[in-house]
Amino acid sequence: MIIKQTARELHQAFLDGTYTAEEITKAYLDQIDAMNDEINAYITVMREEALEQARALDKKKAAGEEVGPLAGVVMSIKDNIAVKGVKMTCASKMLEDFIVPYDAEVIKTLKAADAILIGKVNMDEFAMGFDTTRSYFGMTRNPLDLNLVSGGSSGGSAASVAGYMATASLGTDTGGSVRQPASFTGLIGLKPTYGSISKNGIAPMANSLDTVGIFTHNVEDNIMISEVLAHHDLNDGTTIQNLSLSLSAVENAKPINEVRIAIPKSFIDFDVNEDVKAAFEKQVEILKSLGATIEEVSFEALHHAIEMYLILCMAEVSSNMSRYDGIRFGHRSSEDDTLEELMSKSRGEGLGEEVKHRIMIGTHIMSANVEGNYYERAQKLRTLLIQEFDELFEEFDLLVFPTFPKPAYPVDEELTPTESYMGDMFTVPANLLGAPCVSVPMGDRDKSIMGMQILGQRENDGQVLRTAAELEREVNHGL
Amino acid sequence: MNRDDMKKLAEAAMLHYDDDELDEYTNKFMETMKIIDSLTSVGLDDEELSEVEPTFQPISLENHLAEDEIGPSLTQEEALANTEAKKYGFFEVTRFVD
Repeated sequence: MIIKQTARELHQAFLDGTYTAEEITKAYLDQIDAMNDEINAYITVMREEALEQARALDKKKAAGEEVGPLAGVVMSIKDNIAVKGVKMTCASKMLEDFIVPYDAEVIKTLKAADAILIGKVNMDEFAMGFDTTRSYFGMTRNPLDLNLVSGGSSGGSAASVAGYMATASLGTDTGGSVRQPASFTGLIGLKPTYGSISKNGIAPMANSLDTVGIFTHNVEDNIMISEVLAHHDLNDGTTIQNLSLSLSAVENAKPINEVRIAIPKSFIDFDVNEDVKAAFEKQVEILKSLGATIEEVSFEALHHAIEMYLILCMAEVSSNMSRYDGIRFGHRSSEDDTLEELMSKSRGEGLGEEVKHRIMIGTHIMSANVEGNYYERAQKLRTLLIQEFDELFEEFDLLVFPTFPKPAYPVDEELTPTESYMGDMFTVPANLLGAPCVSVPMGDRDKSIMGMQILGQRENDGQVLRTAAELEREVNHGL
Repeated sequence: MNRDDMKKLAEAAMLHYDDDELDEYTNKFMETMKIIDSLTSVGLDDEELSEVEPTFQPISLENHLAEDEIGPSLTQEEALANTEAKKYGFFEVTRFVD
């Protein structure tokens, strides 16, 4: 069955002539037709564009031209990433009809690599949320169990891959938005080192934390796609040439029996669900059985990671969201007696509750009279967090801990703001540190709805992915 | 934060809230600020932190300067394609000067 194959297998099958790109694309479109009404992963299905791209790829191959490294791979794209000529809604009423005039750098790269782009997927509005229930276009359900959330904010990305409506997906991860939904849907979710993949053409949320991430069914596919995407981009001043995000870096990384792994005690002491705790302990036992050295450590600065994250994230959000004024693009209120009223009513009507909340908090903490108490202090504590982490990594190669303190939860369960922010506590450290981190499934191998994170030193993504691949091989989560 | 403070904040954030919406929202605002305020209780005072450099982003970056080359840009029509109000080939805004 075409849609159940991995990216590597599909690429090979396309090269061998087993399937044409059009056949592969049609198989995924059929699956979208069959599943999307229930799951609501896609906001925009790029049916015609995908078929046109597939036919062009088939012609290219028939003409004997060289095809790209992702030929045969069908990808969905989170709806905060610009694809020229296609709607980019950011799951918001504000951008309901916004059609992008250019391709994001990652889209140019995927097109050049001959990946087929099949559609734009759902998310929490402007990536602000944790379970894709805050989308203007309705919630995304979990393909493994329709009564459960898909996680978020990149829930549409996760559901499109877990529901076999795409081979892989691009998401964004500012505080866990790739890793947490990956953990709820049995997938591999990679957040690479900050700056490894260009953010040019992606609606920004919090620039010092935002990272592009990749969803796949297995680690090998994730390496295959992230290697294509990682490069320095002059149009994004925060990019680096991260050589560790490559197959050769993975091959040259330490084998699992030479790896020293730390488990931060604070994550063990935290109020973690019993199923997650048991699955994590089992996963740690597997790592030990493979020869990894594992030790519990204290990591004091982690205790305040969530507060640091909230301050930095919301301050940057409030600044970034100021571009939505109802004038040049986006929703415009009909009540416009004054310019101020036009802007504040357009924003009040066009933005959802959580987005407005984060703008309000960000505006407050950036106010002239309180700035020194919050923003600058958080930036300084972030420095101390990074220093403590770097000291820890003189002795260790990796950290491991659960991705979220509970498994995927029912769609009608509403978390309080405190519960939700505390849930983020497990994922935000990687963003604050700028470190590579991958979520791998744990628990029931066919229906895993919880994950474990493997976090490494900045620009050592190869180590994170190698250990993830070795663990995956052992527990046979790969397809 | 009383209602007047919240109103002033909403004005600064350029967000319209009805009075009822703002009253309902204030609790959520206060709950989040409570979490954030706990950061000020970290056992380091401002003097101890004064020697610490702030982190603006977490990796070492070099500046890469692009050549200043003139290239194609959006046409006037493309630039106006996503606005809901345009006039004479420009963005239409409410008159704001007398």
